[in-house]
Amino acid sequence: MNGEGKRVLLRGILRRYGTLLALFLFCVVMSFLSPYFLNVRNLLNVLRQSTVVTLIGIGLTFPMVCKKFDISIGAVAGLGAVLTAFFTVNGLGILPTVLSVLAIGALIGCISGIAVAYLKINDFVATIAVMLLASGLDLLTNRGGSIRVPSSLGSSLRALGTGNLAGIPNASVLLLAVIAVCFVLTERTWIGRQMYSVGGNERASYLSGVRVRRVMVFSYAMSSLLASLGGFMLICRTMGAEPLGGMPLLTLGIAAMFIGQTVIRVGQANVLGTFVGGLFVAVMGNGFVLLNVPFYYEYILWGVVVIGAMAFSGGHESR
Amino acid sequence: MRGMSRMRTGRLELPSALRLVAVRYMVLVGMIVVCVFIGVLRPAFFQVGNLVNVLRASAATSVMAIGLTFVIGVGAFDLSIAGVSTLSAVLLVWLILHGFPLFPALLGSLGVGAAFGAVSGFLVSKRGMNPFAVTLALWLAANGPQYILLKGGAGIYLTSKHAPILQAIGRGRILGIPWVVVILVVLAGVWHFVYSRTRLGVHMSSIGDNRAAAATSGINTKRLIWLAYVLSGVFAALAGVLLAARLHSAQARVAEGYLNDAIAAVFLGMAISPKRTPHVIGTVVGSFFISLLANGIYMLNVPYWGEYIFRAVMLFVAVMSSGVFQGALLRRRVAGGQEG
Repeated sequence: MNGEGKRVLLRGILRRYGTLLALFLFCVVMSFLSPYFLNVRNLLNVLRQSTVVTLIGIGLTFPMVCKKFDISIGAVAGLGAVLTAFFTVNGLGILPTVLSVLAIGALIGCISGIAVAYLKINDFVATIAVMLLASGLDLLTNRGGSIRVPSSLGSSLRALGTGNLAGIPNASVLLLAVIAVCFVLTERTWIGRQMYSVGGNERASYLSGVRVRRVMVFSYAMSSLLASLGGFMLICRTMGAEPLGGMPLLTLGIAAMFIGQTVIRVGQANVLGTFVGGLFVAVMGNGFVLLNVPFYYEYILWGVVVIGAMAFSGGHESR
Repeated sequence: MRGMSRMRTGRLELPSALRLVAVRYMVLVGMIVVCVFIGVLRPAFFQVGNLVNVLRASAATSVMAIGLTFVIGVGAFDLSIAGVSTLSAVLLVWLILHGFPLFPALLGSLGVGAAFGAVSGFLVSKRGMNPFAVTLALWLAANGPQYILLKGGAGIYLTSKHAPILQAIGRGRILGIPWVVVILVVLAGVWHFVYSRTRLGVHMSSIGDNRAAAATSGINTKRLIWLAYVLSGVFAALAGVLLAARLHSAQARVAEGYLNDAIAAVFLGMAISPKRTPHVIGTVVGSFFISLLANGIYMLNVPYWGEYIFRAVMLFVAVMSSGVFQGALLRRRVAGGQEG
């Protein structure tokens, strides 16, 4: 192999695995800067913390596969959290709680999907409206107050959020199961292929028999469903919900999804990539906490990360 | 939906002039009807004092929306305006608290707006990145410096000793009219003239109509798109300044909620404008009506979570009535029919 070929190969490897390399380097640097970083307990904690962000990011991945965006995920996750706390405090068991939270999430996703696919409203504008809708419902649920779940009622939630299964956090087991389902759904089934085809060329997909509008509604329903599952998992860990508490999660979920676009399938949102992105976000967040960096510096970082990831992965030319 | 599209493609037997008037003023008449309804239930609603107050409260949103009008006018979008507005409000108060005189503080605050606009304009026009994605990232990025200036706290406050001119602008009146309203009217008048009567404005709107045609006829489209973003950033910063003047303080995320109102205002403005294109005066009228309705809903004792839902509905109504995003669909339908 000549020098030119080697360079091209190297660039290809860097393009696909550069983010993983950066994550690895960050971990190495962190292990020198903080003695606590490489503790098994800390690493398990990072894994546990990555659950919520990754779930929201994977939700966002679905519309992104169709080349559509969803700004409402943060507010929907916040609504999911408030509803989880509200239902639990009012005596509902864990199964009815999670089912109703997911159903409400899917319903809200259908509203976004119908607005985007059938009413042809721009995806960003429509989901801003849905974001407001979810915020209104969030405040309505508990009249704008914060809710604490007493330990007598929330024992099964706590077990799910902080317990372990053979040394691995329960939350991570659940996350891995969700990732497996979503991976198969997007990469190995007809609906996933149709989603990618809609993202590639809406008109061509329509002409070759894809029901474009239904596929879009499905992707938005999945997005909001996974976002509200993220809110549910947040309550399992923190056992308390603030009003409109989902807004910071929007930033992190977007960052996870965009970082994910730089891995595995470059320039294209994909489930496994978002998983790596979620880990990345959790590890860096943990690093900042260990280094005592104030939380507000993170906002700048995530803005820069999102722009950088977009520029690096390409494929974000204006439609 | 189906009936509306049929009407637009001209298959419905309705005189075209009447149709135009009906569509153009449907939104306006609808809002006036709602206002009259509220006014009957709550007589205080139509008192001059209340109307002036609503105008004053809507001034910042209107200024922000005027900036957004230019960006939508060149066929792009700016989601960062609320974040930039908050940042410039916080920066203004911070600079004054750190001993800067009013004028340099104002310059710094507006400069930050221009810088944010310049960055998003560069990335969109020169690098060809998606305007929504770029300005979303800048919106998130604007939240960082804001918290650094606030040191993670909730707000910073000026006392009556600080910047008396700013306080006079924010709270004072001339001939019974609040200064902020005077500023808004002057800005709207001047920029409406620039946007509709000068070469610059006409070139900008021609880019929104058809970018390829504008470029072919020798307009520097990239530079004008960039300029539109810089204008949007400066107007957002100005809105932040007006907010800081009115509140005489700056809080975290103070302007965040104005983003959707500004978007809705621009689309309402398009719905009521003669050619259904972005229109400065239309935007200001739209913004006033949104504030008026929000005020009315407040007077009807709807709890505050209802306001969120009202704003969501308002945004949907505005975008649907402007019909801008259905335009592409309509063309495709005429060309060969699309049913997803």
